[in-house]
Amino acid sequence: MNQLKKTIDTKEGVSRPKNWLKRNKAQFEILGMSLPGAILLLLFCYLPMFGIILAFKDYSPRDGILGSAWAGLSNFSYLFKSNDIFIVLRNTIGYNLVFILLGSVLNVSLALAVTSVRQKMASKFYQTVYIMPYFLSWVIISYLGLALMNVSNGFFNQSLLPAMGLNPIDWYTNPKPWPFILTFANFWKWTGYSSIIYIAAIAGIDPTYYEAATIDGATGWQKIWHITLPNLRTIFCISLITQVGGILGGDMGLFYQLPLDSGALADVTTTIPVYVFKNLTKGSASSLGISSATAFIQSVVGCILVITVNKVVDKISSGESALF
Amino acid sequence: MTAGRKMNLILNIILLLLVALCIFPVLLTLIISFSSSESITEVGYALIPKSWSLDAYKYIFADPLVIGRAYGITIFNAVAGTVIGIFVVSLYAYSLTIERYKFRKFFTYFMLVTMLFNGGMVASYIVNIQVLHLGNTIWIMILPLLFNAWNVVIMRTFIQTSVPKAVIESAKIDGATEWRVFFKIVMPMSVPGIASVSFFILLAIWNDWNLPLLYITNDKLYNLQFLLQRIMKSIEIIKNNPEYAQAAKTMTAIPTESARMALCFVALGPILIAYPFFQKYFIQGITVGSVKG
Amino acid sequence: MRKRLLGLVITAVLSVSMLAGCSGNGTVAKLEDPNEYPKDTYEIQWYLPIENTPSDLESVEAELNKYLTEKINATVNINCMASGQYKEKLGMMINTGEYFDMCFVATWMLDYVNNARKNVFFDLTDHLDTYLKDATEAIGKENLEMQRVDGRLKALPVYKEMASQYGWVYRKDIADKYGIDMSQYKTFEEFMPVAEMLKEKEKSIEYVVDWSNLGTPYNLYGLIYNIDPSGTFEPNKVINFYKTDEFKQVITIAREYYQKGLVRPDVLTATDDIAKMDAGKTFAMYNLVKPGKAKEMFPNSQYDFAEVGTANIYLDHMAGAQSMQAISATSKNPARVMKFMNLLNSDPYVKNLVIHGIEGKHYEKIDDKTIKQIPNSGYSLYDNTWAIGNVFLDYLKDDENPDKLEILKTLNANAIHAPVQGYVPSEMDNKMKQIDLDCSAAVDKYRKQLITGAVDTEPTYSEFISTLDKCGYDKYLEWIQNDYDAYLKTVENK
Repeated sequence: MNQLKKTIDTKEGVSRPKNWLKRNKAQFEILGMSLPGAILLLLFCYLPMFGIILAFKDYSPRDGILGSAWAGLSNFSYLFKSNDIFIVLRNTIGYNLVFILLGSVLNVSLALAVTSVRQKMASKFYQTVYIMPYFLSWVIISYLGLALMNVSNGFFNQSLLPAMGLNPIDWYTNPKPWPFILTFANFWKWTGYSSIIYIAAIAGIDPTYYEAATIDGATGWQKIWHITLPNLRTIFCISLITQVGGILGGDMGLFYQLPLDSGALADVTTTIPVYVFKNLTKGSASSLGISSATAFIQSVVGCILVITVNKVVDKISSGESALF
Repeated sequence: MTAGRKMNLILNIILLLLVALCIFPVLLTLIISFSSSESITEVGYALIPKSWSLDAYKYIFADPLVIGRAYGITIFNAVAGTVIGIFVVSLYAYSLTIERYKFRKFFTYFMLVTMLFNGGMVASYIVNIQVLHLGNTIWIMILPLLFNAWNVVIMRTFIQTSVPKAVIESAKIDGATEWRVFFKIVMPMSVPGIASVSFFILLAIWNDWNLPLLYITNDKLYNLQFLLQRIMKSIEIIKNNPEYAQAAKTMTAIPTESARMALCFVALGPILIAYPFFQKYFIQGITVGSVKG
Repeated sequence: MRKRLLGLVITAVLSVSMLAGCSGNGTVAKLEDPNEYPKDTYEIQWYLPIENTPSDLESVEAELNKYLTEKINATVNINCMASGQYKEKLGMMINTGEYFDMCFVATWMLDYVNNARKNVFFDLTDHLDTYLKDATEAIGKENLEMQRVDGRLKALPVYKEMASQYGWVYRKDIADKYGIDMSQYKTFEEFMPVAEMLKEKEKSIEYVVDWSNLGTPYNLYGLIYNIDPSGTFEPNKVINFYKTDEFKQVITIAREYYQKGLVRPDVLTATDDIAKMDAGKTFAMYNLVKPGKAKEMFPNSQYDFAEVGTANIYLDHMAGAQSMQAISATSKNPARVMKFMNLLNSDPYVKNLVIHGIEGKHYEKIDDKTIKQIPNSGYSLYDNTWAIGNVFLDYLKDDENPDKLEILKTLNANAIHAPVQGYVPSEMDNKMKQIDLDCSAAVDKYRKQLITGAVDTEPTYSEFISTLDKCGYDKYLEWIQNDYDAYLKTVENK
């Protein structure tokens, strides 16, 4: 490998043209590859970045973003001074940790299971069915949830619980089952979709590895353990690192629409985005400062976590599976 | 029966149970979309409704021209976006894997920052409308969705893991330019990655209705999801603002629940047809357990 | 190279920020003479929330523009959007200072009070006697008073029924069958024996009362910022309503209804209240009523519905609770837009052209006040007349009660007038705002459960009260009292 590299270097060294442009031709060639993407990022991500200062402004549309008066940190204070901040933080971080950790395991497991099926047709069928929930919007899912959990004529209370000899439950005023319901709903909707990249990664593994293992007499489990899983490690770690960045986020549909915004469930369903939307901004456009401040905190905390986790992964995997 | 076969059987049973879990709600939604609204009021959601009805679909397809045009827009956006997007993403991803590239670090961070930080909707709106003048154009529904850091990261990982460096290096020794290496070696060898990232881009464009919500007011440019979702948006407003319901009298004019369910399938259908096409490429390799000794 | 690229990014970002900084600054030009015919034509961009854009909008616009060019040398471009899009799009246009001329606003649409304070709408206060003279006369000055924010009028209310009253909407056939006179039952306590009787005897209905639309006993009290306009409590005094015996009674009776099965068990989550009632499954709803309400709610039902008002008639108190039309501060010619606004609210030709379309093409005239719509003509905004302008100019449809407008006027005239109805709290400082946010979070969490009777009153009620105390509700009430007293002084001085 090193030798190869050397060959290239000397090759370049020998025919070093004087012209700067010509000398860096290869660099320009590669730059040309980065450029289309970089331009899109510049236009649609970097140009609007100035919006971040909204978090520190008392925004008035008449004065524009720069012209508005500075607000110091007052936009941030609403979130932190509010009474429910501990419950909200607990929920947000708690759910996200479960979603990220358990979710990663589930995604890989499902991908392994689907690709381990011997019948290719069956495997394709499973995959197609598993991504279907992804296409149902949360509004529709909330209707279906209500059909299941309606206190009077829902499926659970009318059929399932009596059949099991249990008393009906008032689902929308009883917070206890909701951590499980939300976790289940989240995985139900996303697992099929998120496992796609693992399925693709498995498909990308060089078949000769398996052939060699088979010749050595490896069992199915051994092949999974020694060939498949190590090959999924990089994508697994990278997806973990990226998801950690969203630790203070949350899906409005899951936490707001599915529980039908029931006040009795607030203690277990309120996460940061829901809290900001419902209680701080009331969805009104005039509280742009507060929502920007929240987004800013989410980004900064996410950034710190991503860097930390990336370092840890980098150490453990000795540079192979880190994001950067 | 060998141990392997037994395992396969057990696996299939588990997977079939999961199928039931996923397909049942979807099936129920489909049935409700064909139920009459009297049946829904009377017995709620039922697998066998009291009476069937096509009203929901009649409501949606009331003006075939409108929905046909929306289909056209969505398909154009999805196809154009996916084709352009996959090239832009793979090129960028490939450039980040080239070790002698001097801007490698810079462009890696340049992309990663956008994963965490964004300027928010208001700033994006100002840029898109006042700087880029993309309001009421088809490009506003394509360009912002083509390229995102996550897809680049996936693509980069696929290129790194499935294209051996030695192959690339030897091609370069033979005098191939980077572009040639990209088209002749990198693209063909990372087909599963390309297929899955294309599918993600396709879905992002297909399902988007937030961009038309803010940027498209010309009803000839409405895409399918927006055409369907704006009805849901209006229902939400009516529901959350009793004053509006009071004033607008629209409570009875809004579509029935079955129509809302039907909306789902109108948008979902083509994607489910397109999915196996992509699938072919990400399970083209081998299936893990089936390599026989 | 790297530095250069970085430089490029920074320059680009800076240039955009400059732009963003400037975008909001409009210069105020001198307004043109109200009585003179202007030389240049001005096109007015008008935005309305309309669920389905009428297909023949263009021909109506053309007809309207012919008339307007002659009168005020202006043309109008009507931009219709479904309410869901309207809310987001217009909100964004306002927030980014994008140009437009005129739009629909209310408290619940585009956040009238806050936006008025942010000066995004053109201030109409000083132009009521000039540009808006005819409109002001038609609407009546006293009706404009309540829509002021900090003493300024930032949008013109649509003159329509401005009062509302709670009462029953009910199945008339069942009421007749058992000889029930719903107008007698002013409280839920009084109605309870009847409800129990119906639950037992009338098997065709599933629920006697449905209050999943929140028409609960709580609505018997129409307090505004905890100040009572009707005289049940001490006038002009802020009280802690949640601590009163009346509130306890409200939640007790609600719970009793719930436990006896007189309201539906899924009252907290149900959204099909209208559909259920339409299908004859519900006997009554406690609802805001006005003459013709039952017909309006259930136009095609096979059952016979009626309405009767039983509570006090209140004016819709909050500024912008009613629908209004505002002129954008970004308008390039607010004077011309005001002239159009003036015509829309005083000239029957303009108003009826906008809502009914062109005579002979979209409707036939029956007499000078009544029309008949031509089916499938491709134009009618009559269902949206409440959002557009003075409804007392409207031609009525042939199937409407010909006295409708007179009845609405009487309703307005009979309403309770109290100073608190025009009151909008001033802007709070950050500390007070924090308390306000915390308190409303608590109310949001507990009130709905309690007033629907869906949960046991204890311990929820105690939790509610202690949370409110913890949030500093007393401080909030004290602040409101001081602020309100100051407001009262300004009213007296007028």
